[in-house]
Amino acid sequence: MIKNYLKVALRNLGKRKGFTLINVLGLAIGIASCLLIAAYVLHEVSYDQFHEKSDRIYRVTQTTQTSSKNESGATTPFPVAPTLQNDFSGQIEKTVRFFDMQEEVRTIMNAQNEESFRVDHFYVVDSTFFDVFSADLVRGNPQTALDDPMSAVITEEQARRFFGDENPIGKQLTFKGVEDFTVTGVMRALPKTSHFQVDVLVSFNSLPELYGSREFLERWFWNPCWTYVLLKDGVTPQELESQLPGFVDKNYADREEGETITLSLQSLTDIHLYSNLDQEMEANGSIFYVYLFTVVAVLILIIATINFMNLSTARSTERAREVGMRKVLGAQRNQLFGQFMGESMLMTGLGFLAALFLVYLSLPWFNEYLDISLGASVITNGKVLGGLLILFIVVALLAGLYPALYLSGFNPTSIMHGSKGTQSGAGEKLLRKALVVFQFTLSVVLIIGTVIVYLQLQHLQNKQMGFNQEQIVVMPITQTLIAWEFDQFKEKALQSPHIKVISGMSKVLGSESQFFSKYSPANQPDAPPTNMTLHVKHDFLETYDIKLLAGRSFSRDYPADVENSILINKAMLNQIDVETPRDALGARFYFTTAENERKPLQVIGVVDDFYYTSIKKEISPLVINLVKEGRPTVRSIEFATAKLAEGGTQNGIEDLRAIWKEVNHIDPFTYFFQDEKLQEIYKSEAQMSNVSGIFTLLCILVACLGLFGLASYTASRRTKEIGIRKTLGATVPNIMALLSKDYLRLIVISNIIAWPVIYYLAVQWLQDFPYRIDLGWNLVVIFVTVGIATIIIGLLTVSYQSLRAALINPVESIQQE
Amino acid sequence: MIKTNNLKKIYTTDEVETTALNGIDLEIRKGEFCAIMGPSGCGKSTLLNIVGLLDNPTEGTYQFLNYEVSGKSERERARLRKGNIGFVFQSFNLIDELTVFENVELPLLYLGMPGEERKEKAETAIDRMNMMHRRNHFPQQLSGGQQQRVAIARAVVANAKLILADEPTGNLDSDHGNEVMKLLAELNDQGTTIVMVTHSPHDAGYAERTINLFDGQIVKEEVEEGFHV
Repeated sequence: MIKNYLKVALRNLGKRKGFTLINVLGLAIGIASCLLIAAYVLHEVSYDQFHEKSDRIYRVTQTTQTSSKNESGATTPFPVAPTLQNDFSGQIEKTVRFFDMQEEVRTIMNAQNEESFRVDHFYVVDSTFFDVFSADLVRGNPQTALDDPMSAVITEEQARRFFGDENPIGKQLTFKGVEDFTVTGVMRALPKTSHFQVDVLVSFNSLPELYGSREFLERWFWNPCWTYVLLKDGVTPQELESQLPGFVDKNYADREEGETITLSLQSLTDIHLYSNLDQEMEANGSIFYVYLFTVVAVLILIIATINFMNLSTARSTERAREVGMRKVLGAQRNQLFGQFMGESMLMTGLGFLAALFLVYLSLPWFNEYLDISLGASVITNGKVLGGLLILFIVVALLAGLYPALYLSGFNPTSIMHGSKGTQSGAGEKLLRKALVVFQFTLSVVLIIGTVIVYLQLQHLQNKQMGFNQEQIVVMPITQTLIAWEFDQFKEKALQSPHIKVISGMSKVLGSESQFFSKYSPANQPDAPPTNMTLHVKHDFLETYDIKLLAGRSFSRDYPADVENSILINKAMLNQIDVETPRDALGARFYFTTAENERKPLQVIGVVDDFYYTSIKKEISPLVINLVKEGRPTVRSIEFATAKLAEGGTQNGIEDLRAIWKEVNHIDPFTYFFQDEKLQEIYKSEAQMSNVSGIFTLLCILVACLGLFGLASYTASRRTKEIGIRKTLGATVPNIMALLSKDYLRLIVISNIIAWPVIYYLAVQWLQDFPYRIDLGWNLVVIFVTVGIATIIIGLLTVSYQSLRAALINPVESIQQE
Repeated sequence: MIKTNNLKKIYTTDEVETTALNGIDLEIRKGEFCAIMGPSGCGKSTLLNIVGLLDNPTEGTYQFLNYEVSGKSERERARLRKGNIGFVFQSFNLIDELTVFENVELPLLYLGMPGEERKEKAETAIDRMNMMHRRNHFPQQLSGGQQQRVAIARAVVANAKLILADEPTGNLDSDHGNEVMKLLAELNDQGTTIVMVTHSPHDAGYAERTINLFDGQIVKEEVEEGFHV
């Protein structure tokens, strides 16, 4: 019997090749999208799970609150870890700190052959690193590798880079041209599913040597360390967290008046998806995208499954005769049900096979696009296969259940009257229409959703930054010779016709990390004692074309500027309680020095607001302070910046490189373009919006495949009617209008249903952005455009079938039944 | 074999009641060849559906093989149908996706017969209809007469005691029609009871007994000479 079913099923599939293709392809695209997204989601949620003790590892984070600011950072001061370990030894097994030297670029040199390498992930860590985290040490002893000062553990990849095939253990690496690290271990690279990556780790004990001082290791107000605690077995994070307020009171002695510091524990495995603090080690993922993509995956699958149901039931009327005859010959309903379920299984099976093939084809592209490394294991690993089997059963059941119930329920007497099949009842037609509306509503929601996400990202990227980013080259100079010889470098560089202006600054504009310094307005005793500060060299405003609203820029004509002048931004006006930029001129500020002296300063100029930090945040009050010429800029000025002449980019870079070499023969010349840096900041968002765009397209494609199939079915069902209408004088356009009208109505209804849904979702999503697109008219335009687009797509899809039906010779179509 | 008493069938659609059969008393004995005639809409096909256990009457009783079947469930009727009743339709109703052999074999499959026996029986039936040379063809590859012969083979393959034929020659030219009628007559000669709905007096001539229906009632019965009801 099963053989008979299989025969009929296969012959049916073969006979209706177009229908089979649409059904299988639609299902395959749906399943493939779903699989890819599932793989991505699994990848995202698996972050940091590979650490054996991941359930006991927590990161300590710090929130600093004053009357005017509220900062949540991923980092804490140096003494937090050892003090926690000391105070809570009953609860904490180990602690480990990471410190990244606060530099944009780190270069390491093979001490033997003096070849230099740029290293991206360079951390100073406690020797407990290997006790807390599960990292494989290929060479060296994990217990002692990071004990001694100036010892380094490098990854296999870096070992090959630095030393080729030689055994790296015991070899010297030179850092910043002076200090030598000894390689004591080689570790395997961490999996991509780690919220931090490692190239080189050096021992914490090296810090006093590197900085020539121990004193900063005791400070409680500078918080540059990522601190992790490994809790003892059975200790809950709440137990420890509840004692942290007392810990803060006891230890943070340097707190300002009105400043509240809160320490919290963050589960290691939550960091990647849930943490978006200041000073994250690397850009994290977002649970928002995980949810978004999961929803998209489920929606695509639903749409594909609905197609399957819709097409199967629609075509099933053609099989009424077979069903009737089988019943006449003695088939029971359950036998027929089994037969049709089997057919649905077969079709779903084909869809799955095609989906696996599609996944296999698109995986390399998907990996590259999302910068993840999903292998063939996505398809072959046991868990995924198990999941696939469940998915297969669910889809086959969902897709096959209704058609099977529906088909097996046909009344055999109908065929005694010689009719070829049963007419679809009103209820079935309504259901079919409802399903089409549901599909298109989902598609419209996805399209508009993607458009809004895209527009919002464009909005962020195109928002006037308030400074010029074109033709600007940024060179990291911290602790390079250039920092000491800045003036010489500048003087020589300006002799090149391709270099227009040169300046220096403490941080890259647009990056999240910025300096805080103790500048406070003299007339506002209650104002916060610190403010965001940008340390700059002369010609900073000129390099970036930052608009001056009142007063003047720093100038060499006023040598005292270095001593007693500052610039402020417009956002500061509110804090010092003045109305216009002009009123702020001459306002007094105090700078509190390390020796606790109060140094008076005067505002000489007010600049328009510009995004010195991330555009995702509101612009805070800012103090711009001039760093003296000729003074070593080791700490405060981390970057030199040059504006190149139009059209002279390449020459300008070459000239800078030559001058750099001339002034500084130790450190390699490194640079990046200001605009590229900004783009990098939004890279992950842009990627996500691209990917969601692609899945949205797939979603529409699947929905259209369904519509195409359904239209062909309708056209074939109405062939006789079309013939009669044509004999009565209907023209081809009349017929096409007749056939397309129904679908047109459904698509319009879908759009209208989608609107309030998307409006609600968009408002929710945009709430998190301080700068967001204005929904009002934008939304109306999007609604209308997407509405028209879906109508056009829908009409094009059905018109092929309608036209074919309309062109049939009426003599044939009337005889058909 | 068939005995109905005051059989009624009323269709209700959108509050309109249509009486298709209105008090049919009919008895058909084993081995009879009975033709049912009458104008379109007189209830011929409805009667055939009920007699063939495809449908239940609204009122009245129906005994098939001395077993009361009115009001029985679809499941029960299907069980009785299998192996007892064969059907022949005007539009042949062969399954397009199955070959001649597979179509004929189908009733045996639903009877749960083992493969060897099925093959033997199906081939015998096909051979009997002179269709062996076409056993692996699909219905569309056959002429109308050939298709009807296959349909008859299918109707008799399970040794049905009763064959219900609904306008069996309606879609055929006269030569093929005569051929089909001869086959039915032959089957009747071999003991199969045949009930045939037809418009054609010529076809009805093959029957021993003709029942005329009008508006759901039996209005006239003609019995061939020498045959006794």
